[in-house]
Amino acid sequence: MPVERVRALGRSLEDAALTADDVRAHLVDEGDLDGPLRTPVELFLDRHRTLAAALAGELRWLGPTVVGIADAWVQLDAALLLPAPGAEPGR
Amino acid sequence: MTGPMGWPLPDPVRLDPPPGDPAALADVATRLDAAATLLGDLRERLGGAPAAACGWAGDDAGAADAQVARVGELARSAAEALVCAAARVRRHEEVLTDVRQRLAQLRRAQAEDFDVAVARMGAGADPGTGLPGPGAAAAVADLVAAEAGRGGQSAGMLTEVDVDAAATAAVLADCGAVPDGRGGAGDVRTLEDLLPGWHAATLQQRGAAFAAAFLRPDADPTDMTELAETEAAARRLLPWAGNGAVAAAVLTGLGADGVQEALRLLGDGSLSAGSALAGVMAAVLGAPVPTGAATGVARARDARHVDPDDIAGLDADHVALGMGVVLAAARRQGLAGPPPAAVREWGRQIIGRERELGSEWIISSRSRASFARPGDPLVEVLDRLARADGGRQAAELLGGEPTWSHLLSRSWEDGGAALTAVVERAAAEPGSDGDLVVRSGLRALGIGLADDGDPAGWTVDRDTATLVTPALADAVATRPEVVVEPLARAASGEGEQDRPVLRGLGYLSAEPEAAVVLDRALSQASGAPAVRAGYLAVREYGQRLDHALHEFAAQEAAIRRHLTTAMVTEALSYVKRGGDEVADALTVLSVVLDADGTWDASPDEGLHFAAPCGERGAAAAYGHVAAVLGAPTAPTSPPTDWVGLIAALVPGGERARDVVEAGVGVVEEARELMDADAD
Repeated sequence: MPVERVRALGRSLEDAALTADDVRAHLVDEGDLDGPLRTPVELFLDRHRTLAAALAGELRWLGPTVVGIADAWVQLDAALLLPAPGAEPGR
Repeated sequence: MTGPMGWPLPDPVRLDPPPGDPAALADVATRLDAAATLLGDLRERLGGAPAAACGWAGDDAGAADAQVARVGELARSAAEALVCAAARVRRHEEVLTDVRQRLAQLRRAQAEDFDVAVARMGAGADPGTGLPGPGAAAAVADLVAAEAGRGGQSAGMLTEVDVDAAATAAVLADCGAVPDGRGGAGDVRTLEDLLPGWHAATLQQRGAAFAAAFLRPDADPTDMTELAETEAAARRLLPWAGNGAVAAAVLTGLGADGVQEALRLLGDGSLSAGSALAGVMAAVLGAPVPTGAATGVARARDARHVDPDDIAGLDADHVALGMGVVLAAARRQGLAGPPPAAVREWGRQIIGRERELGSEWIISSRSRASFARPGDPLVEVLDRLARADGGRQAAELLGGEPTWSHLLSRSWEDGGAALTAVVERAAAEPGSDGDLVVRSGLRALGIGLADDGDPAGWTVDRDTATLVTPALADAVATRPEVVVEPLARAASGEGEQDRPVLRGLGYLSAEPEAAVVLDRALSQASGAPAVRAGYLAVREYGQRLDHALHEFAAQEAAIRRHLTTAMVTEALSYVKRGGDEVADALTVLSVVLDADGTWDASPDEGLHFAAPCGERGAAAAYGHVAAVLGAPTAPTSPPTDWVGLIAALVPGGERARDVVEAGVGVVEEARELMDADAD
């Protein structure tokens, strides 16, 4: 496993959550719409805000999970490569 | 409407603009487009299987790429929906703008037409009379016709806007955020399936919010309004409470103190086992929590919630009762409930408190007025451990003789059903765990009995013991080595340490149905003559013990009745006038009513099991085991004091007493002389 690249992928996924946050910010209902489209637009914005929040939440979970897998791999690797008892350091 | 000098004119047709602000619509469309662009960017960032692209291989990489692709696909479809919606909103904005412009033109034309009409009416008007000129009627007629035309156009334009708005609304409804999500709760459910990480985080927030609301510093659990709010919050959480993330958030949020407070609230009778709060606690305590949260959950769940010797208030009792309510809720509402290991610990805590303060202590703290009166928590504990997955924990709970002694010493609201079931379950545990259960049960039955069978130090409730006897006899029959080994030791002249087990076996064998099971099992288990002979000694002990216990019980009842009359008689002796007469009458009555310390002894009609003859060493083995067991001896009733009765009944009775006593002395002397002659 290319650990650093996988960690970078995880961080990039978590960063992508910020984009989903921006999407959500654009879909805030500012309440200045009137007329027959007021309610349909409100509902539409609400549905897409929910989606944007869900995408952000998923990416915030996915990113650290990927980083965690890379970290776990490093720990496993370190455990497997422990020097044998009595072995000289660095050899 | 009137013109100059009050000439009549038609009212102008209303040409108001249609509802809706084109600028606001344009703003919405712009924001939708911007959001769509961002989602498109997001889709680009997530495309191309990034895990595989960075050289990561394996199942984890595949799963990561699949989930990234799922997120990207949702972003793509949402971006398309936003573009579609933005285009439609923009089109409606154009329609609205166009209609507003055309209506503005009509309004300008309307104003001009009215000016023209007034001018035509004024031409040739008579200044003297004020009458309009000859062209006035035509001017008004032309104006009316023009207004009618404008009214029709306006209505058409408004309809055009309405139709377009409806079409736009339909497009917005179709441009869903989630493919096949059908909006609202349907969208959320679809997203929960597609995006498990987000779902878990959302649920965690719900759980944490519930815990925070429950623990808010100003909460007053005695306030009925607040109680109703807590119940409403629990009702909202209940569908999700079995989720591991929710459960972890609730339990770590509550902590040990919060869990204890929830149990106390359920146990004080405010809320029943059918309440949502009981359901939430049953669900969260049984949910499989994420590994990372397991320690915090265990800290909250497995703390000692019931203080064994806190008598400052009823809190500890209500917590214990709350444990029963949670277990009952799990049973009734079909929820997981606490795992068997936690239930075992709850059982130990409840038993610990009852042993410290008395077996009725906890259940007697229940409020009689409560509509939601909790049941016996220990019944619920045993009922839960009696289920198929609770065998090991049941055996661990019943592996100690003190626990057994307590369970056998108390009464049971369910008629002993749960106790019997848990004994069966625990005794069925393979290996040494099951052996220990059976051995502890037998020890608990035998411990406290004196060598002569006196039960003064014996805590067993015979009714409860009778309930458990069949299960325990079956358990002994399943693993006879538990008693064969002690029998062999005792038969060889050792076995002092086995005395309680053997006495318990003897007590058990006094029940006819149990005896049938035990006889068969022991005869099949060991052919050793010493063991068989020792078992006969046990059977003999059981029969004599059964009779002795019956007589000791009769003695105790007689003494209790006599104590009452003795106390009253003693009190009457202090009454100066007539007290002695009443006391005499009471003495007579005490004999008649069987309250004089005597009782009607019943004969020992039990079976007898003599030492076997013929087999070498069998008689000795029988004797050794009998010596270990002791010899139950039934107490005998003192004789009725007939002389005293006569003294109290007959006038001058004291004189009669002297005569009778002298007569008895003469008779005894004569009998002694006759005995001497005979010798």
